[in-house]
Amino acid sequence: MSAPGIGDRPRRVISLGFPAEQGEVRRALISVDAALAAAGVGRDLRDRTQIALAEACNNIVEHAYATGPAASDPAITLDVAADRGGLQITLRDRGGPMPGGRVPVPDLPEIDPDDMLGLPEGGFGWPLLRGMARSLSVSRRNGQNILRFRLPMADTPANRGQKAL
Amino acid sequence: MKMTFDDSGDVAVLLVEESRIDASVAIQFKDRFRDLTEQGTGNVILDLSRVEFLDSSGLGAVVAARKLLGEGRLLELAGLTPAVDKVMTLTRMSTVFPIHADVAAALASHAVPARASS
Repeated sequence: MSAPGIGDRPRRVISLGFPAEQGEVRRALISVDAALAAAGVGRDLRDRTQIALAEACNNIVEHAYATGPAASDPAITLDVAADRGGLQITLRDRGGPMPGGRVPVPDLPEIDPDDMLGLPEGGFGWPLLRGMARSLSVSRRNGQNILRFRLPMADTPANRGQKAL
Repeated sequence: MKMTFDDSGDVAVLLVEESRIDASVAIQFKDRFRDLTEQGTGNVILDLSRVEFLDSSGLGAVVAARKLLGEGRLLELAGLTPAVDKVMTLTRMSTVFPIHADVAAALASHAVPARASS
């Protein structure tokens, strides 16, 4: 499933900067999908990229920048690089730090089939991101949050289920 | 948020004519769903065949939509595209919503004859 132009060494596919707003996240994700398609990346990996990026970006909008819009511009920068193993994603923002300075490890919200009116409407963001991402890490340097993760070319069972730090 | 609602049969069909249900439109989705379905009394089939992407906020809006129907009515999903199917499966929501390959299959499961495309 190797695509033309994707080799052993990571090569930049797209870099974007955008304001911390949900509509801007949508536009950025559509741009990423188009760039990946143009680079020859297949549908499955592109779908996983969309899911992971949506949760990562919306988390920045809703939590890191919870107190309001960013003073810095662009508020969020996104870099996608590709190599034969998959994609390397880097997101940077200047919002508030992640609580505890670590990536949250929440369980999936409980679902009771006998209580449809009590189904959870939230709490799926981090589990979804964790379900897609490998080698997920956060760091903070000079007031900047840096979230990195990989998306493997093939989502095989061997690649799955590794709980990153 | 463009949606088409067809309640001419026993089971209503709500077609979402958007390619994405995400955080930027989740509230609109829920509001529009309420406006379209609150007069009815039967089950609703949500046709997601044109929705290529659903994020966790969009999923939350679908769950909220289900709750709006209350105890007496079901929300059934039809036409899940690969990314939507992935999100439904990973969150295990696929275990609580009736899911059909497409609207025709959903209607067939209620033994409703396929509608003529007049």
